[in-house]
Amino acid sequence: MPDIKNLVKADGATVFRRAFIKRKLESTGLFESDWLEITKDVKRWGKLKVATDASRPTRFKFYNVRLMMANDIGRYNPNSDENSLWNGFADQQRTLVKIESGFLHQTLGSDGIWTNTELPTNPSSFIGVIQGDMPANSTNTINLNVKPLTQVFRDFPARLLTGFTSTGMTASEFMQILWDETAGSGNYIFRPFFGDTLSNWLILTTTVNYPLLNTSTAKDVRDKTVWQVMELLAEAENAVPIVDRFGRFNFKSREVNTASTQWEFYGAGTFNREYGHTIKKIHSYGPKMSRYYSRVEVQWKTDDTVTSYETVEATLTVSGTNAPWNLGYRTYSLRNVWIQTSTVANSIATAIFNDFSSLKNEMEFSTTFIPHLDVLDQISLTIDTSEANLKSRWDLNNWAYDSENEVTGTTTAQEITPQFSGGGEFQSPNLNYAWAASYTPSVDELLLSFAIASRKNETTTAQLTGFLKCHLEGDDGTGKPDGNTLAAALNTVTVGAMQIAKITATADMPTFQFDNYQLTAGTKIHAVIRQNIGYTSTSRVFTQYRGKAASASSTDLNWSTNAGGSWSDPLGGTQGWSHNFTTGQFVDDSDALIWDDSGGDAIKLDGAIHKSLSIELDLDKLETKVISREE
Amino acid sequence: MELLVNNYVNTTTQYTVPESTATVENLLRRDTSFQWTTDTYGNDLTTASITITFDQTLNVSRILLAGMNLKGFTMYYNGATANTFSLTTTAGTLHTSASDFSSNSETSMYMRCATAAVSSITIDMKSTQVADAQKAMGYIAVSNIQHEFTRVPAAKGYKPKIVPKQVVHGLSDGGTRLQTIDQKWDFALKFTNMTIAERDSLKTVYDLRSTWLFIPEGTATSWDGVFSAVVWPGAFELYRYANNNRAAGVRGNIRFKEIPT
Repeated sequence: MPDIKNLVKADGATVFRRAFIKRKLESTGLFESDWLEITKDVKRWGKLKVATDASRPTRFKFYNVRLMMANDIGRYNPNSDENSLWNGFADQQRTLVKIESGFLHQTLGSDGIWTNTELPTNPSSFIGVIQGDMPANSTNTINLNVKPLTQVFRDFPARLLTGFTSTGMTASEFMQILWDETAGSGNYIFRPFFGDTLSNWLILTTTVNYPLLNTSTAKDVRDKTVWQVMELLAEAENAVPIVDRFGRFNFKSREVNTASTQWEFYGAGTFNREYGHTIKKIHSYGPKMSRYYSRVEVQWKTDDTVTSYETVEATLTVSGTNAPWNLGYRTYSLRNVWIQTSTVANSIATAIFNDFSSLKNEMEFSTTFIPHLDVLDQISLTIDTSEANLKSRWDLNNWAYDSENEVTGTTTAQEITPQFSGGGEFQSPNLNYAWAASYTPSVDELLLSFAIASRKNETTTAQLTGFLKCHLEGDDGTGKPDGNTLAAALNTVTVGAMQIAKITATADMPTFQFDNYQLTAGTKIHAVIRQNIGYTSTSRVFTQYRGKAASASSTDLNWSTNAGGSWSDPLGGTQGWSHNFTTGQFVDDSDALIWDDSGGDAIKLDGAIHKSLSIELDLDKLETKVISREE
Repeated sequence: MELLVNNYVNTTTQYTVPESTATVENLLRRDTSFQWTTDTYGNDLTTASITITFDQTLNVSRILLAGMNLKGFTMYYNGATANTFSLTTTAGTLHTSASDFSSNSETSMYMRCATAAVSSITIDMKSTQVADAQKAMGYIAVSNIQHEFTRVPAAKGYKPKIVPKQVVHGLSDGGTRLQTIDQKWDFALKFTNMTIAERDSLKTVYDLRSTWLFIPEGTATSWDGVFSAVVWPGAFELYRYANNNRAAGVRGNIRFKEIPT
């Protein structure tokens, strides 16, 4: 079964786009039961976009879609035209329009039967209503102006609603009366646009009662549209009203949809086999001053007095780390007299302040076609735009484990650290080996089992002769190498081809020879492995090396004595001990030996967690454009 | 090389199938990777029948089956099993002269038959090439000849190509990614020394401003499966004389481009 990640990252894939309409029946005004496909008449698809409102960051904007249709035979003329698709139906205005898009995966079975799988499984990208002028022209095209489903709320005056109670209601109760709202004929007003099913009406349960919502002629109701009331309630609840790509209405929290990453984006200078490389271009990246506020002021009463305001602000001090001093004093003002108490007003101000009081990075970038992202999805970004050194990066840095054996506080070397001392321990990630104090093993050979992974676009397959070197350093007392070379390996090591290679045989393991360096009891040593400073290459730089266990019984690190050694293996065994480390070391690719890239970078992100603030799907260019903000 | 009138089968309501009605529309879709398949007829001892009913009697001389996995099947018309089509061919070898196949190994077939007056066609699908598989059919065309080219163009005058509708992405590391939406046939034909009679016949076709099925090299066996529903855009060029000798005929280009799915 194909996975959407595989199809998104595939360098050759089949994509589909489809458009449908549902017309209103002339007799009842209700929508026909089935969608009518109009895909083959679409000449241009346009863009589907949802974004935060630049002037009110706590609100979202829903953009119109414009489909250019071929109208050579008048299928998109008004319903009075007998050739029109709407002939025999009600007016074209407020016709439902659905756009689907996604990937198509096809396989042919040995029985001669094709299997066609579409992903995402629900390919709906947008549902809206036709609204606006649709003039014909001499090029025989007509633009269908399609507005998002929020338009049905924008069009309806709140004063026409029923279901109010004299004591007011909560926000979620208000949403319920919308769901139940009927016209004089007893037919529902809003439900038909949302599939007539409650599963398309997802409302956050709220508890704050709004006495202002007590009558349709209330001061703050009668001059507003339903949508304006929704937005005011959303603001008061730190929520957002959104219609998602499935045509479902959501009244939900303004926080991320789920606290887990929904998609990972990778760009230049990165390598990931799960999500692949999708970033095409970064349009902008950096701290977003226009979304920085040192002060948030919420006016929750109409009186022009200080008690009408709840304010949360950063304290200004003259300091190199003070935000108002360094970034300036900026105020975000919000007026919402629907807020009932100063406590609620203060919590709203605090939530906005917490989101906008620190200068956060935002990025706007384009990717290949990713049809299923939603605004407020949590995403991660990895990209490194630093210049590749196409000549040599040898001995510029050290490399070692990333986390299991990470030595913090250093800026350079993070080495593999097999350590042992007399009576001490041989310590490597996930493993300790101890021996009796009467033994003082000497380092004769150090064998390593690891695999080399080149950068994704690397094509050379030449062996890397003399690629690695190794030396021993002492311990600085804190478990880190002290920088003093105790012994250098007599040889450099040649490693395999520039591709994923798993070394499984002892004979293949890169082996460093030492001249029988004798350990001193009670000391600890570190083995430091580096790229050989004398090695030159014209090949592309490496960025990752992975240590990987070949199998459960393979040897990962193999210390052996010099020939003729007379001490015995405390674990049992014969002269010339060696230790087999079972799985637990280098067990998976996460035990990567990470290249410490301390070079300068224009943009470098390594799994940065962002929240998507804007998603734009361009169905003509098959591009997704995202604006995201650091979490 | 033939132009046929547009497929007589053009709506799902013409089809009667024993099951899988949701995928009947695939039989109208020229992309044979979308098939109609049975769900419960995966046994060579069971016969599934597709029946196509026309709302008037039509002259049928061409039948196209594509994207199928049938080994044994019979086609007959007007509801009578005795009314098999009398197949003819101008090239290749048929394994049967009647539309009754017991050991077919072709996945696509283009059949010419003696013209029959047809109000319905039934295809009894009996067995599959891989034994006991579900019966599958990709596309069916039932038609009549519109124009049979008396000569095929020279090799350098025949330029068929498949034109993809695709987006080429340039990734941030310089890599390229292709996303293909669909692909359509585009045929460029160049004729020289065409007779004036044939030119006039083609002019009549051109003036119809219709759509046709274009089959460059249709055969019942070892067919390359190349066919397309096309329009004829652009100018009608065949009024140019081939040379100063009027009897040498005319020359010009014809362009056929595939219509939307």
